[in-house]
Amino acid sequence: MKNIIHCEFQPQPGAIERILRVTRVRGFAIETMNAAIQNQLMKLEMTVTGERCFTNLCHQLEKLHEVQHASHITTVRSHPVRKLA
Amino acid sequence: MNGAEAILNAFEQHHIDTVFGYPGGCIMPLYDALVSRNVKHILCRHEQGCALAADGYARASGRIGVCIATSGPGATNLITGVANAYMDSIPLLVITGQVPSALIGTDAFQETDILGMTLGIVKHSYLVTDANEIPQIVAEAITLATSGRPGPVWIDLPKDVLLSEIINTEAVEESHQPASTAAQTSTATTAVDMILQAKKPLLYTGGGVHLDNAVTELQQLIQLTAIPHVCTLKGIGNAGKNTACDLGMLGMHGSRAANLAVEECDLLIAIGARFDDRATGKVSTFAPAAKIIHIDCDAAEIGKLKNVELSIRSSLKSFLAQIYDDLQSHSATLQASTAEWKAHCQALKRTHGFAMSANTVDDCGPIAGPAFVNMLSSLAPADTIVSCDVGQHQMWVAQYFSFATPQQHLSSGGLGTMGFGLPAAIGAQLAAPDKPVVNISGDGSIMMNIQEMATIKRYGLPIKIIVLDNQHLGMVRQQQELFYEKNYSEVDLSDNPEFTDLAKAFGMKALKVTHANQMRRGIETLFAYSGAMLLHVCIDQTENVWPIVKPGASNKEMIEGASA
Ligand SMILES: Cc1ncc(C[n+]2csc(CCOP(=O)(O)OP(=O)(O)O)c2C)c(N)n1
Repeated sequence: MKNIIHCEFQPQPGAIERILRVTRVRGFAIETMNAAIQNQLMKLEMTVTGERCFTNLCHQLEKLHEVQHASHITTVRSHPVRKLA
Repeated sequence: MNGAEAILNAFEQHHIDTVFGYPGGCIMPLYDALVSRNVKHILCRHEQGCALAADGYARASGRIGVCIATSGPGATNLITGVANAYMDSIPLLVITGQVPSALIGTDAFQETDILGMTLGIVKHSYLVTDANEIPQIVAEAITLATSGRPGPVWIDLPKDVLLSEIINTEAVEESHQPASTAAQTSTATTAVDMILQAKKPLLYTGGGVHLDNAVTELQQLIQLTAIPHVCTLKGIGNAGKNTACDLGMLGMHGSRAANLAVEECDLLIAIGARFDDRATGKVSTFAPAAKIIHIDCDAAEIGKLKNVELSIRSSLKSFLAQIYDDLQSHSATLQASTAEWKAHCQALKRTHGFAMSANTVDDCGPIAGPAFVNMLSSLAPADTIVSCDVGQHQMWVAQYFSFATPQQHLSSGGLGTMGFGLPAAIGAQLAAPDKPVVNISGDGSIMMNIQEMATIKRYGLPIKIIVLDNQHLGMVRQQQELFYEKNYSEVDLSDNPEFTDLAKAFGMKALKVTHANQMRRGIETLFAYSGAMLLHVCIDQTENVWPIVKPGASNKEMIEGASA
């Protein structure tokens, strides 16, 4: 499944690394990425693919100290959704 | 005042009076400032020992643990200990020196990108660039480490930042804990309705209960409802000592009674537990007949591995208090509707629990690990704190030692770090100087941080060390026996040094027992002696931990003893 993740965070050193690390470790691959600072906040949009729950990825991202908000929008359903147990 | 002094001021302001550290080049300004201060610095003999001792201190005291190291190898040596704290949600403040700012990124002597290396094992981390920010950063780091789901926070300090004078010396306000989230009344009501409708409710509790300081509330709920209870490794002690409806630990080495209860229950109430694979076995077959309520303070834990009927993100303390109040008036209904199930769980406990009768011990035979731990549990003073290492002995403690609170049982759950026990015991003894502290270790694990015996000697800590010696990496040997067709590979430890001599070399008293009829005397001698002592217990080399669930299999496929 493919989703667009929107993430707003304080542009502190290491913040982008943390976001990318969480995305990878939680089982997602990044296809595109765009980020820019607006009103002192970094706004990041990335297209990610993965079979796990995107809402949970957003919860994981929101646990990062710098991240103020993370949300996702479903775009393309490339595989059947993996059902949780 | 320079940056180093600002760190020590911040310790004072935040009531941090004990820290565990090891000096070196880039952190020397902090050690220079330390000489004139009151903070108690414990010099461990390896930075891993510092981090694990700080972890044990935090577990036993409920306060933040602090560890300090220099840049490069000092910092990398901390990593296992910090990962251990991260996996078990233990609040740590980690302070490291870094090469001077101008040298960062030049591959300078003892430079490592420790911030980059540790991203995955910290709740947050800082590389400080301006000494003026130190008071603010330390305050924020402490709040982060101790609030919500606790965890380690790392502050990396370049040497020039430690040395530079602070212009802004205004004191930072004491850090305030953010208010914890309480469950909405409507979700608590739904939970209560589900409990009242269930015929076979089961409580499944984990380490979160103690971390949220909610043990009393849980024990009150258990007393009121007598709902059968199972727990994770870190939840051991949640239900209190000898509680009738407590079926003990579930999972890979859980009791058959606990695993069968999970199999049969129609409502599973998960409180501060995270459906870890060691607890659930094959997760798709876990609690197959149950609706699930999951209560946790961490939103990311809910629905991570298992879909649930009702998810509640809340402080556990307030949620438990709320449902206790709501259930009080329904207590009679609950007792009536669940009587049959409770009786069934009692029967399961009687036939498949971990209780061991005293006369199962063959006096002249070799010592069996479970029998030893069982006797230790009955002879240890009530307030004993036990720190374990990792392996079979750790599981026997989980199975056969009875704990009144989870704070008395220090065990490396998430990371399973061999070498945790000895430094954790040091931290615990410093946190609780008046309580007996026992490290139960294996002949493999004890050698992982054996150097910390020198720390015990230096500070005169009356720690008791028990080495359950089966001359093997027992847990690995067991899995090779059961799942790798007895193809034993690199598990023999028969050439270990004589542990009693080793202890004596570190100025510690030592005693060795080899037969079952010496167990009682050994344990009594250990507790009667006022100082540090090692008890070398030679145990049956072929003893296994039962039951065992093959990694990846369902919990109902428990293998037991001869049937293996
Ligand atoms: C640092 C570390 N290395 C390796 C392991 C894998 N491991 C788990 S249990 C175990 C054997 C432990 O042996 P011992 O301490 O003698 O305890 P026993 O199982 O014999 O009681 C090993 C090697 C680990 N958990 N931690």
